[in-house]
Amino acid sequence: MEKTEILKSEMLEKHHLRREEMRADVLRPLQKSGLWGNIWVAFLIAIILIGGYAYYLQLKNGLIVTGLRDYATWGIYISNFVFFVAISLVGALISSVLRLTNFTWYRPLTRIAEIIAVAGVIWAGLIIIVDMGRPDRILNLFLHPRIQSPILWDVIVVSTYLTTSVLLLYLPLIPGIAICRNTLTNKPKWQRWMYKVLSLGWNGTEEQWKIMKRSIAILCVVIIPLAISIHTVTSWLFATTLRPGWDSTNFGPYFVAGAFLAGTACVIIGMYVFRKAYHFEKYLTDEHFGYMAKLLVFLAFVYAYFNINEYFIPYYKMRGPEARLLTDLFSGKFAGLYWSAQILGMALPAVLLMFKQMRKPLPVTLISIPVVVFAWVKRYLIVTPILIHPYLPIQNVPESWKNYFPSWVEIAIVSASLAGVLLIITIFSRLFPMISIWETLENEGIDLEEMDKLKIEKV
Amino acid sequence: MRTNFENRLLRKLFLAVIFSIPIVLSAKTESAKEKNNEVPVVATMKLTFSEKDSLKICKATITSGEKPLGGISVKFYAKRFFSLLPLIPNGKAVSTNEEGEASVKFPKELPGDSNGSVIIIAKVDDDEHYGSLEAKDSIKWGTIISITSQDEEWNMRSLSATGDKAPVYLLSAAGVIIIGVWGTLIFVIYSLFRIKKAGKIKK
Repeated sequence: MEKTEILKSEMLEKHHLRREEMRADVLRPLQKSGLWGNIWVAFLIAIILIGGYAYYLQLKNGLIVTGLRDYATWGIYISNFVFFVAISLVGALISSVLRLTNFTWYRPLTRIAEIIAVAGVIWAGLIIIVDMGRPDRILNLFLHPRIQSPILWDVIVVSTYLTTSVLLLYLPLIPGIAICRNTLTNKPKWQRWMYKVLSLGWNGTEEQWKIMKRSIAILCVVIIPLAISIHTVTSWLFATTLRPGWDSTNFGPYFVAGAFLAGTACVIIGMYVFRKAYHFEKYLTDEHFGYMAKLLVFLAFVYAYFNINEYFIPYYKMRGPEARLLTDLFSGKFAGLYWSAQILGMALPAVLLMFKQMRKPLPVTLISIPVVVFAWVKRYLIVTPILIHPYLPIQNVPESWKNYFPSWVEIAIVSASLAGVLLIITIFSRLFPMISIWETLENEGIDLEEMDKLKIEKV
Repeated sequence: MRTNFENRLLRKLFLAVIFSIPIVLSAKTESAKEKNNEVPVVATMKLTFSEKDSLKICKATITSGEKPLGGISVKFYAKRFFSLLPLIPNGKAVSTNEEGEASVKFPKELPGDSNGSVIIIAKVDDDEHYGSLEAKDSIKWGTIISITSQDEEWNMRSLSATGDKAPVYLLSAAGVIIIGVWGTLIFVIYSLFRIKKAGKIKK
């Protein structure tokens, strides 16, 4: 009996040491920011300021300062919106789908995936307002709602998904914030106050663990249909419109599949950056990159399947305006972008990642970069070429209206929104632990809930 | 003082002007006569309607005085709210025959106004000899769309109606989903307060 007690005590000591070691590793990046970190933040703020000035010009002079005209009424703002919604889906994939299917390897990645999701969906909401010539009119959506309109569905789904994602980011973070509250006592007053408020008086009581874990489980179930809805409804903004290329029943799953692919590639890049910048090699291991690479291959194949449905079947029929659009995409002025997106953004990464050597952290990150870049390009190709190939062309319009190229104002605003996503992630990672301590330790068989219970019993 | 040469030159010029006046005047008269000979032929177009069995025909007759004019292209339209609807698909024209007549079938079930009246227009566009001609008339061949049925349609709940006339199935489905999801989210937000409360350790 005594021997068992001694063994138990030794094991607890070991667990305690491991917890302290991990705490130190995860909190080290929060202690101080380096020179390069500050330069990075200054660079992002500079881009956002330029974008802010461009938006001021747009508000002052109207949408005439953009490349948008009566043909291309949606340009890179909407492409960007679709891209942000797409990358935000990854929060649901990593946090919920893998959690509910009893995988455990994903746990150190959850926070990275969730903050990408939150940052993406915040800027998706903002960029859609930027696309409006009169942003004050957004109020009309609420004052005079039409539930029949997919635009209202999108507003409802985006705001619901944002709330759910914020909760799913926040709830598992509470024990981490409590650690920050107890450990980072040298931080400025406002920061200590923020930790105090956000930690919700966390002491790791049995009841607190129970409520938190149950709430996370509920959110994990709710967020899956929500995540699928947010991107399906976004696809319906296009599919409910009678235009060649958008008039498709395949659009919902096609968008969702592409979103999972783009989001997974974003998480891989995020993992690599945090592994290098915050020295998280012990937690974001080669094994994690290997799993994520395999997931990327699987998602690329699923996306390829929907692409074949989306492009090959209309190509087989080649009817009227659809034929003109497809000719432009396959061999016309958009062919370079189209084939780059299909080959460099989907096919080649899938093939390369089948080789084990390519699933190491650096190669898989380098392969993920074109996946993300061409995911954005793909959204541009979904929006713009279709708008300049309508079923009913407008008569007697200036030739320039039949083409679209974004103005510097649009490019500056879109760059600012991309910088905005990165800034949210950067600031978050400076204030909160980027790896969930309790979830990662659970993977190692260390139950923090149990340890907290013992601690409270001692008290 | 003018020289002899200058005096002689002036005299000859004066005589030349005097003698040329009648020649110029006669040339002007000739030109005017020629112009009077090019009097354009005046053509008129008349629009008539006939009905035999169930066939309704719109007929345009083009004449110049008593003489019928053949081989002239006539296009037929029905006046709509914003523009003219060609009665022959793709706006094709019909040529007048030797009797100066061009006709077209009136389409079935073309909506008219509250009385069923439709304004039919026959047009000749910039003919080489006769220029542009137009004739229009009203005929009660249109289908009557009653204001009552329009009002009924306007007040019906449908996907294309105004926000306050959304289909019930859509309102209820959206309502159930929104209440279900937001109810769950509010419960989770409430759980945050419970977490705070549960953090108090009794010493």
